[in-house]
Amino acid sequence: MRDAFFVMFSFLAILGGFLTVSRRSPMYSALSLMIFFGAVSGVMMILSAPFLALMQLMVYAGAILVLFLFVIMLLALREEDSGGERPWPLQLLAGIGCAVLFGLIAAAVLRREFVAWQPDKPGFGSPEEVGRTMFADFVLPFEVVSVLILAATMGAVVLAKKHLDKPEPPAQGGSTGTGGGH
Amino acid sequence: MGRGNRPVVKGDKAIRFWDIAVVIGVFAVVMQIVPLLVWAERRISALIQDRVGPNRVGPFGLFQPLADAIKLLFKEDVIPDGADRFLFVLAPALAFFPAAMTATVIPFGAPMLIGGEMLQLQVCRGNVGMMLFMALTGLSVYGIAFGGWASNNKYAMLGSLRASAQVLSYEIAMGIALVSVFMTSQSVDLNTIVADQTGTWMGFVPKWNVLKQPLAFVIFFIAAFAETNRLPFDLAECEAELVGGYHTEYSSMKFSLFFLAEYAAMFSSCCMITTLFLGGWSFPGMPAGETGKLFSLLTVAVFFTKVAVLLFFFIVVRWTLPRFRFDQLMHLGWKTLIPLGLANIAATGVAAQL
Repeated sequence: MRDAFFVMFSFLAILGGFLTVSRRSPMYSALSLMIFFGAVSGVMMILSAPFLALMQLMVYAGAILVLFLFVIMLLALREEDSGGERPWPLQLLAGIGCAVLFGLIAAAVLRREFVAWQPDKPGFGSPEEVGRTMFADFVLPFEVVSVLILAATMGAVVLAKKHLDKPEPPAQGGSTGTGGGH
Repeated sequence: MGRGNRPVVKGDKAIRFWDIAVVIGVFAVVMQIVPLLVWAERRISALIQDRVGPNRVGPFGLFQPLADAIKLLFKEDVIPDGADRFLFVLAPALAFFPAAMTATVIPFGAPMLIGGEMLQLQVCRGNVGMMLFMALTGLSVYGIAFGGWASNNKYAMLGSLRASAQVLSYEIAMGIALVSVFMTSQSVDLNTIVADQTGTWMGFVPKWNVLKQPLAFVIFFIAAFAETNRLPFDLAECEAELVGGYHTEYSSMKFSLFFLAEYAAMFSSCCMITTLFLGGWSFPGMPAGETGKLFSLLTVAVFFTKVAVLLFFFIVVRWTLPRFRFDQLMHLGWKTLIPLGLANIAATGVAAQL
């Protein structure tokens, strides 16, 4: 049962990933990416990592992808905007790159002997265990990441506010006092 | 009919007949509560506006939703010319799926002793239920987003845009409100959160989280309105500006699926608020450790009474408050609710250390 679901989710993940890059329409790419995120989350669920699985669903499918959709809709991107066919040397290069990467991963996987895996302690993957690991063993990396995110947030604010500092050019006709709304 | 205790599937835990009964029961409740809610909404709105409301079909007009459903089924199902057909058909299903799924994490009543084994009245057990709820609320926006985009209509598209921004913003406020509840209850498991709220102060004041975490309750409640796209936050369909918003182009059963999704989401949200803040299925003066069938059914009744009160409040709010403007909505979410929620977490932490 477990294996059947694992195979199903893995297949869905591969299909979703493939469709994400092969669809021309950005909206269908986003839909495929959603399938991919859902399937990966399912795989994590089967591998005894329920917390990680749901975080994946919440953060990637629930927030980041919604932002993608937002941008696609805001810019009204359609199929025509994808830029058409790429030049053939670029296609060839991308194909070779993918093949090499696939070969490397396959080689690494084939070199290893696989044994049936057991969770190393009871409650592995639960919110409590993840929290304990994160705030006890890895508290320094965790804090460093938070500084990184803070820096990124500040960068976003600076970029977004760049144009707000300049005074707006006076409107034609001399009517003033219609500003505000920031 | 099986006789219970019969393992159906070999896995970590055998799935029993009664477990399946719970699954079917919860799904049936969600499906049946929706027409009732539609009826209640129409009757209560009529009461508020000093009208009569639907009262002809069946006793008190109770069969009106059935009549509406038949009417909708027989209406012409129009797919606009410029629409993206695949996404247009997919969107209503995408909207309904998460709304119907969220009820699975709710513990509807006290565990029942059946055939020598404890039966939990909850479909999705385990301690990640709350996370599943949050994830599914996040996913609920896809139906609206794809629906509006696929309609190839500027009003529908604007509705979708608004819905995406709104759900994203209020999910953060909701999550932050949740964290302080987790801190009070010392757990993320919904059953533990309910158990933590049993008992009373001074013999009659229930130890509900709404009294321990009033600010978190208010934030979660407001965010729930926004997440379910209900007035005063129904900017995604805002008929004064956007015709019908994201479902402008939808007709017949596809439209009703969006409609169903809204009400199912409202029901699930009320169940979640009840579980988190109003003591779930527990009630003051409850005997501890009771596992009888009748007692369990009584707790289910208590749970649904609380949910009904909340649903009534949801409906009354819709028919009494005017709609927000979109920038006001964003200001409320980002500049009021989120800082308040963060301050509440800090205050909870300090209070826990004292």
